[in-house]
Amino acid sequence: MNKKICIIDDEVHIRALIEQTLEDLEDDHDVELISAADGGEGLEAIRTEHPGVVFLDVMMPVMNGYQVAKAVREDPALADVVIVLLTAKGQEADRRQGLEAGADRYVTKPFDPDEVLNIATEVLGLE
Amino acid sequence: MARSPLFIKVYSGISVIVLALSAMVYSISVPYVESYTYAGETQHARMILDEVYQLVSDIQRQLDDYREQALHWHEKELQNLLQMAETLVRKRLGDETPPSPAAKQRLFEELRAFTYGNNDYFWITDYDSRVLSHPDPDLHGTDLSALRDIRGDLIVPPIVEIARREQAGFHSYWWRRLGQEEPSQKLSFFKDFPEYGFVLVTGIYLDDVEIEMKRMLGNAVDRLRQRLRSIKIADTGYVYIFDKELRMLIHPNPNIEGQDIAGLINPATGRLLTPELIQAADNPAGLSYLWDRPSDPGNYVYEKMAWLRYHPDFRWYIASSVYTEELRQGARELGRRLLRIGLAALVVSLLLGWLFARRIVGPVQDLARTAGRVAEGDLSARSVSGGRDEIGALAGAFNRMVEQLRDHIENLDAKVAERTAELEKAYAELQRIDRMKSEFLSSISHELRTPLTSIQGFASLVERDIQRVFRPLTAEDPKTGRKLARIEGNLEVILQESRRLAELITRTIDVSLVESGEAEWNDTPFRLRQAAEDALAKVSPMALEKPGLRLDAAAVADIRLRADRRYITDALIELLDNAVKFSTEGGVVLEAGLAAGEIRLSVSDQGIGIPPAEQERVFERFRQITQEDDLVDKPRGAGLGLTLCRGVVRHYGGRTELESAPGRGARVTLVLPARLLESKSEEQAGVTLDE
Repeated sequence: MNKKICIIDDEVHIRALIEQTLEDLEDDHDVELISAADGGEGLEAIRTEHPGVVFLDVMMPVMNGYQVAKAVREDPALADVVIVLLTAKGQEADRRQGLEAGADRYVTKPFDPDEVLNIATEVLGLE
Repeated sequence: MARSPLFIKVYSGISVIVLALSAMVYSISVPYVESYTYAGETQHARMILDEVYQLVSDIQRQLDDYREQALHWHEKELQNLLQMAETLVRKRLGDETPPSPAAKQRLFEELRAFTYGNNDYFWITDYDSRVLSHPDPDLHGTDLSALRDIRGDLIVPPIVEIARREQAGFHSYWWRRLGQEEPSQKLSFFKDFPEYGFVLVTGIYLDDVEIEMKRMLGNAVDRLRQRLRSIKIADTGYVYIFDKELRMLIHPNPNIEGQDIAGLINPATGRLLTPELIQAADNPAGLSYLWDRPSDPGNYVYEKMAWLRYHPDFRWYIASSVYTEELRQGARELGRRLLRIGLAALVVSLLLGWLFARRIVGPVQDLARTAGRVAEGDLSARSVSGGRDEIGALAGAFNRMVEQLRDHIENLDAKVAERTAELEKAYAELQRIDRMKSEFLSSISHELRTPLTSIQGFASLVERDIQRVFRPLTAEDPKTGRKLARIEGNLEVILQESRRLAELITRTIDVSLVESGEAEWNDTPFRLRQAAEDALAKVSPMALEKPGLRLDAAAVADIRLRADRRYITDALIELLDNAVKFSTEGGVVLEAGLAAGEIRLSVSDQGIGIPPAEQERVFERFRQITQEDDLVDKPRGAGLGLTLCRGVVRHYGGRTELESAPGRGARVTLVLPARLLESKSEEQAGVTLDE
């Protein structure tokens, strides 16, 4: 398993929050964190870095989360990338739309940092 | 026209009246006319009989008159002859008394030789009834004091007696004519000659009067026969006469005349007919019997009427005979004529009735047709019914009404179109604003979440870092430890408040979605009691802060619903939350169950209540009970709870009910249709609120 985690969110504070949540994994498990500030940049990062898990915001400039997820799923080489959507709405329709676009999981904003940490640990198979 | 119900009503009414009147008049008049006519015919038949009787009586009187006349004439003649003979007697006998026998002899011889008329003569008797002179040699000189005529009466002695008493007189007796054997009635006139001691007698036979009378009677009967044959009673009725000896005298059938009818049998009864006829004589009712008809001989089934009168002088039975049928014929004919006239009148009446009904109904029908067209929307329709009567006035008024109606509708249409356009514009604007509001709420909520995520997330991270990194360092430094504890407390406040904020945002979004119809409904079966417990668990911490308050959910029926459990629970939470929020003591009672075919979920409290003016609007978004002093009493909550409740029950086709008065608490009820019950058996199993 590739120990790279990609964080894609246009909000700098959210990116920082997730980065700080996961920084222990960087130290303890040699996990590499990669951040992107919009959908286009994020997709590029996924393609070049091939992360094991991606925390993907929905509402973003250039490409939104659904579009990014869809593009990832259309690339067979990225089939093993686990996509976790960060949705603010929390409604069934949004969740379904995300899952249809190719997301594997979702986390509703505002989220508990432990939830994000647990997902990353579980997906990457870390202790 | 004939299919018009009104026409049928009017015309059938007229017809019924005309027919009923006709039937009544006919049924009353015709039998009366018939019986009256029959009575008249009967009367007529009897009158004819009376007339014939009168004729017979006239004949009788004529004969009587003739006889009287003839006798009178004969008497006169006898008196003249005797006067002449007296002259001769006095001349021959002179004044000499007693006269000389020779003179007497000569006188007697002269008288014996003298005859007159039809061999009539003079004879002389003495007072002892001895014939002194007679032309018959057999009687001359004989004593006739004991001689009697064929009736047994003495002949001469009465003559002598009357002559001695009254000098002269008449006497009638039966005697044979000279040269004839058959006696006939003789009328004698005689005169007493006391100076000579004899009575001079002369007489004439009255048989010539009888003969004349017989001849006259024969002529009269012939005339009567002619007369009777010309008499017709009804069609074939006739008059006939038979005498007491049952001999037919006059009959229309000459073959029967002169025949003895005593043995005539009534074929219908088998008895003799004549006794029955005689019995009926002078009875006004007459005799009814059965007889045959000339056209149907031998068939004795036709009823005949006979009336008879007995003429005692002639000893005749005068009878009339007529077929009853013919007597009725006039009545029948009259009845038939009345019927024909009546039928003609009836047809004319019905025809006139038809025209009358058409005249009445036609304009009404036109009016009704026009009204029908107007009712179907054809405002150009106008009634053509005119006339100066009420219907004409009605039609005129109707046309004016339609005219006004058309004007009004045209005006109204224009106004409605104008207003509708305005309203549509306003509605579109409102929809746009509402959409904007929803979008604004949605986006503002979303925008709020992002900073909230940061606040909550970083607070958590700070707390974690304190726990992991800094707490162990303060073991030897109590002052720093106390400081750290305070920071932890503050962080907890930040976290709590941000969770509250997140919840508020979630609810706002929920309400927006429910109201806009965009919410996702996930109907699953669940126990209502479970949902109630979840809701109570949610509000009980807040309730515990108010010592006077007690939560009561004992009266929640154990029923299963199929609905979105989250929304139903949320709605109950909102109701309980409000109740707890706006009351400080008493019970907050949650009740749920079936009543009147509906599911009722209600929460009641003894709180501040809702003023009537507010009750209509508390379900609106962001609406809270108006506070008297905003500065003292800050708003409690966002004012979204009842809005959500209303949205949820509306989604399921239910409604909300609110009972409240200021200071006396409130009861809010969510009414849901019974179809939300998981199964039909729930209805029976469910405990109703009334119980």
